[in-house]
Amino acid sequence: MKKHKFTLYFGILLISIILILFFISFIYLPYPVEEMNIKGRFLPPSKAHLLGTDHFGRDIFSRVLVSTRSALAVSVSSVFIGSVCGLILGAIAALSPVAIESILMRFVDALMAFPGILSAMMLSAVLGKGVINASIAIAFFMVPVFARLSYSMILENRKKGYVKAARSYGASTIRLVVFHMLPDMITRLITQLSTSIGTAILTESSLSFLGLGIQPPGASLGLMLSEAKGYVLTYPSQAIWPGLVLAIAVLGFCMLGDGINSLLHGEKSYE
Amino acid sequence: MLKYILKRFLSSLAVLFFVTLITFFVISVLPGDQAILALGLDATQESLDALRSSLGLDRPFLVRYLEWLFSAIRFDLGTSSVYGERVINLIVSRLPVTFFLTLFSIIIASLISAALGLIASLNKGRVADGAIRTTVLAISSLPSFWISLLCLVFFCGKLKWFPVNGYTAPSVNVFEFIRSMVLPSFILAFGEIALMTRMFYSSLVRSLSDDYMIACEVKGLSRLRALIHYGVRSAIIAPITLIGNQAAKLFGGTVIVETVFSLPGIGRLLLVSVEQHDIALLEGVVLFITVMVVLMNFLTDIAVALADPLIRLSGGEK
Amino acid sequence: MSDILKLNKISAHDDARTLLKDVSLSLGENETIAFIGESGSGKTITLKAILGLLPDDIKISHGSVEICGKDIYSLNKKEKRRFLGSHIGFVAQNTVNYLHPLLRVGVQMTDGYITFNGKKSKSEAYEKAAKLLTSVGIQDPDRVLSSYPSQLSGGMRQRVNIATALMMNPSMLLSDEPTTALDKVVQKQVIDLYLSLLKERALSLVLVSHDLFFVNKIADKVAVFYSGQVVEIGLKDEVLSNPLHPYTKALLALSPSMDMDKRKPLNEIKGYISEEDRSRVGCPFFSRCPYSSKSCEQEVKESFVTPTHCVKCTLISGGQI
Repeated sequence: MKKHKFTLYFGILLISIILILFFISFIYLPYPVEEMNIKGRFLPPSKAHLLGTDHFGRDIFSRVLVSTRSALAVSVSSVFIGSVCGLILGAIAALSPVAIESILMRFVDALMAFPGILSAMMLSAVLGKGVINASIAIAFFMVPVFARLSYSMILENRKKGYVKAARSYGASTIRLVVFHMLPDMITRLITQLSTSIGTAILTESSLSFLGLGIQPPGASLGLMLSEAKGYVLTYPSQAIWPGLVLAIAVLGFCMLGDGINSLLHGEKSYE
Repeated sequence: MLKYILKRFLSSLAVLFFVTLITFFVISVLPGDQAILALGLDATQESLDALRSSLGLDRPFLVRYLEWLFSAIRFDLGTSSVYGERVINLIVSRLPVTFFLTLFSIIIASLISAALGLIASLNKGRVADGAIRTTVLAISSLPSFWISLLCLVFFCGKLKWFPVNGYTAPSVNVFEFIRSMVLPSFILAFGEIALMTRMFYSSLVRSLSDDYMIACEVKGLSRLRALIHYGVRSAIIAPITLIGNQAAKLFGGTVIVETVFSLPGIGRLLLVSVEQHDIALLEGVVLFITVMVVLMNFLTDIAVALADPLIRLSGGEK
Repeated sequence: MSDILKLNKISAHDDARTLLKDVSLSLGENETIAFIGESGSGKTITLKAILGLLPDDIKISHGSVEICGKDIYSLNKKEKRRFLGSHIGFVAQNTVNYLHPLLRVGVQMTDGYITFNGKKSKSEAYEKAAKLLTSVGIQDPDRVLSSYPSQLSGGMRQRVNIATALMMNPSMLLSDEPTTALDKVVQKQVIDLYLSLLKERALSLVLVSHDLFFVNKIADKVAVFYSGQVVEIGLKDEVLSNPLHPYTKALLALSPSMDMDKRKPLNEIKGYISEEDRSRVGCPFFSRCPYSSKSCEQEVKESFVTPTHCVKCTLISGGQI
């Protein structure tokens, strides 16, 4: 039991770090994000520049602070859109007659066949670069995951005794889903949501890293790493901080999801 | 068994149908009127109509889709506007990099995960168990492009074990080719080990606590034989599925390491097509990757059926 | 007659509870002992203690288990495995997962034999397996050997388990509720099978069963378990025809008979084994016993009514019946 709590608390700790950075970015920025200073390029960390400066002489700490905004905004909004669409799609499939069910699930399988960030890349090619399009692209990528989740949860639940019992005394389908199945699904849903936010942050930064997400001179962790890439052999320190913050964010949400899952299901969650 | 294969095959065909539909719809239809995109909003109606009919856009969606589908079935994916070459030739020339990258990383990930999963499951509930699972989760959460940059700095810059930008075509020097694959493969593998270790772990834990393990003990089988022949035997099926599915996923997810390590693979082709709005190339690459994924998943299902007599005997009915 | 099995005051506990307390019993060659008692009374744990297969969190605090004169808890893991593998056969209650679902029956029946006799004995092992399958009443042993467990019925799997247990010609068979999961017809067949096996072979049998009819037919000795203790043990006739412990009496009164009054409800023992009862110093049946008195709260001594019949009850040790 101790072990599960460790994962949970550690996840919460990591997420708190990100949230603190996020709030600081609204209260206090040491330097304007886009302020360049050609004389002060590649400065090492100092009192004036906590994490040093980048290849344009911009303050890395300020840029990291602002980056957490886009990371959280994009991930939370895309997971929200993607999960709502996906859950509804999966629920419809699970509650439909067999013919429609199998057509819908083949469609979900087809969405699943766009691996990794392929679908996000494809959509951003079509929709254009930028934050909003990145969110839509990532939401699209989330749909099949949540569709599978709600589909399998409803199917599993349908087999359970209490659902059969409810049906036997004439509960309606919607009532069944909301009152009898939802409570059981909530934990799995929360776990998936938390993990998905981690994945979404990763995908957003990947897109930005590839130059398809947030555009320069805006600040995004992926973009910062992409810019650092050109100088990584001479000035590796520029690549360390954005990556570290990114790692903390992704790991935090993954561990939170894992921790909640283990806490609620105990060892069963691994079986 | 044949019935099962046929069933999986038909289901895969259905998935493929949707894959092509989604690809075509998203890439060719969603962006809106390509004639307006090309000529601008102030173009005359006549010139728009002329371009539309020359691009074939004036015909209904279904006709255009079917035409595209049937030429795709004949491996005709059109011509890339960026490279001026046939898309299929471009894909084939870039295939080896991505294929070996995927192959190496899935092998590395499977070996590491199987070992870690086994160690953790044998020490279930002890410190080693929790430590392994937490560490693996942490490693897999690290962004691959960050790790790539750090590895680039450390192994290529500091230690000089591997050349920076050191891609060598396999036709030139096979050894150098493999050497250029080592780092990227490991980095890709790291992203997979959390999921795989957990899968190995959970199926091993379940298998090891099953009654047939008691039977082994009572029959006097050695611990090793019981573990390998009985314990791992039934624990291998869920991981086979996962390995297959993840291999398919990896195949479409190599773009980042290919970018960082300057490897000319399918991922780079995809990125170029996205950046340059090369519609034919984008459609071709997306279709190729998704078809590979579906094919891989189909083969995985068959592999599982071969390993699991229960599926083989029942024809896949549950 | 030398003892095949001898338990000497075995006690076992996990983190929180005492699971076995001073269990002593002995079994001679070609004898059968039956363990009876309700669920959770420690029958299966005793079986597992004999096999040395208790889960990691259950520890034996004192006592010894001797099989064929050897104290098995003095052996290391490997020696114990080899010793048990060649001397004991075990038939589990659960017929579903005791056989590995993905391995052919033949492989599972023979691999113990092959482990002991080397790789070359493979064909010999299969011959032996086929012979044993025939002797447990399977008509087409070769088909069964090449099938997967899922292709066999529950009764067939139980026969396979019994045959597997006999592969090494063990001197003792342990059988955990061999008839529980089976339907009545198959139960009858399995009972007959055990009877004929005991007749044909030199075999001692430890049997855990809820089925008093089965026990009555097959056992030489009966041990009554309650809350991890043996409250009464003796020859079958002593225990079943002249039960002395109130729990044994209550337990025997439970089984319906042909001449009972059919308008009355079936008998039951009120209450259940509570956690308190397990850790009680005195008689564990205290809280459910109609005859309990003050003296039951102290440690209850074993009293031998005959040289073979032993009861743990103050009604006996206090001299009053």
